[in-house]
Amino acid sequence: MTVDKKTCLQWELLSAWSGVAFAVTYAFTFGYLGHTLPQPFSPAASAQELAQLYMKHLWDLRLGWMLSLVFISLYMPWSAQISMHMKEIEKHSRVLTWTQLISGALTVYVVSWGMLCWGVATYRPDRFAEITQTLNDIGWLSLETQWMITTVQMCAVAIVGLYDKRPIPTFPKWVCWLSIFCGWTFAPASLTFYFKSGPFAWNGLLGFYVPYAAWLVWALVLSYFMIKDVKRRMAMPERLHQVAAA
Amino acid sequence: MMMTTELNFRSTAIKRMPGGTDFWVFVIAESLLFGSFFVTYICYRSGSVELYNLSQQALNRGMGAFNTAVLIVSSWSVVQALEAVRKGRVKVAPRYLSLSIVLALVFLTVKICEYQDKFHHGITLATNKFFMFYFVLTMIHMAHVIIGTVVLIVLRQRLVQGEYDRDNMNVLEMAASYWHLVDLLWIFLFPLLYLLR
Amino acid sequence: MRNTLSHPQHRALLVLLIATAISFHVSHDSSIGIWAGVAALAIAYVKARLVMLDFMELRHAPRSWRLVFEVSLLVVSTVLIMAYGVSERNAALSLAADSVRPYLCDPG
Repeated sequence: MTVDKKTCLQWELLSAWSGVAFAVTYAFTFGYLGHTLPQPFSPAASAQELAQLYMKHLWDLRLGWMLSLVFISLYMPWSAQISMHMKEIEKHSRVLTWTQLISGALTVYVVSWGMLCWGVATYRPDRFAEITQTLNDIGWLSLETQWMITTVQMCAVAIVGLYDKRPIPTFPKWVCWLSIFCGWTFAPASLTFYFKSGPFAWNGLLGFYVPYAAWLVWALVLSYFMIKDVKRRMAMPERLHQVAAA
Repeated sequence: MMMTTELNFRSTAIKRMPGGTDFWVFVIAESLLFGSFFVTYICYRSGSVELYNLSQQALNRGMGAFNTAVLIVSSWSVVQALEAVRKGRVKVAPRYLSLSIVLALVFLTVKICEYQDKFHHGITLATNKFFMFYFVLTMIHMAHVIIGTVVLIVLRQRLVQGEYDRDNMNVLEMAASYWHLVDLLWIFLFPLLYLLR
Repeated sequence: MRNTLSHPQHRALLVLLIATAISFHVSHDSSIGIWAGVAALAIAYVKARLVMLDFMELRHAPRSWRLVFEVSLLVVSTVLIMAYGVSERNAALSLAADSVRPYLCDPG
């Protein structure tokens, strides 16, 4: 006997919600404990200044990165759920559905890697300041410059959503256009390689605030429509399930 | 087909967003984003007015003005293409799109010449804050122009193949709105970067 | 023969090109000081509005949409003009003393 329909849909609902849970958790672990809000540690800070900052907030940072590394796992079922919705639309192929899946998985890597470096920096805070700075640099640049991985995820679901001709599309067209926009707001983040101050540095308006806010808006809007769609399928009577599955 | 003509011919009585409201979410978002670029630029400029004014001397205002005119005509040409499709003159429309595309390529050529000139003099986006804004903002804009040009080329091809007519031109309208946005953004970039002193 | 200028889009094209020429010419006139920059931005507002209304067809859009765009354009243009005007005036007043200039944000 295989898993029954009702349980499967419950797992899907939980997966759709896991994106929201991820965003809320990271607001705490990344934003608050990680001291990236109201502003990340400046790339223009000297190695000594940065090492002192790490010392000053050591317990917050250690806890923040430890929890972040654990809870990045929430992104996995959420990405899988996005593909679940996509496969209903991309009926004759799976290329964009799987691309989204891969991109979601790799986003987990990008974020984990960055937070791991920061965590390692808190492990021996009394090491050479330059080493702490290097770890800090790697962490930030990992998150900033590997944006295309997540942009591909966002564009894949947007493209499939735009071609959804069903009477009740899962993702309304404006959500798809918003996804494309939000995904491409990450592009200026590549300039973090060039600047240590100003709006294009990793603590600047266009290096930090705009892209991260855009991602957050996208994740919440997408989760909303996924949850709505799963609930609608849960409310459908059993025989319609069979018709829909055909 | 003839009976729908009156309904589909654009009239002031029927108020609508060209291409549908969904795509306009994208237009609004892009406008807000670039708006924030402009305000950020002017804020940073306020802190070092002399530096910005001095650095600006290196820019060629004539080329900037020329490019502004080029994009304006290109935008107008896209409008003409859409009008042609709406009036059922589908053969004429691709020619207007061709003009738009050619003008876009002219714009890109001029921009590349400008960049070459700067690099030749050893000026890059790391030279100072003014040039950071100059290069980054115009390059982001240029990326939009390139995308728009590719879209226009693809749509022109489809138009020639008969995929669009007055009852089915939503995609054309969306592309046109995008192209006008590209024009509009340059209308602000030009005075901000080239003319304020 | 149709009167070209009666068509709003052709009218808009003409005005846009003339406005571009004006703002270019005015910027070369050093005698009017900061008003050249103010004029350039004000002209940009007029041009942008024409592109929005006649090219992007917002003249025929639902009123609420048109209002949002018109107001936003006006607000952004005003902010830019004011910020420019204030910064230029302060820069002119004090060439050396950093303390006099109001920093709108960290020059970084």
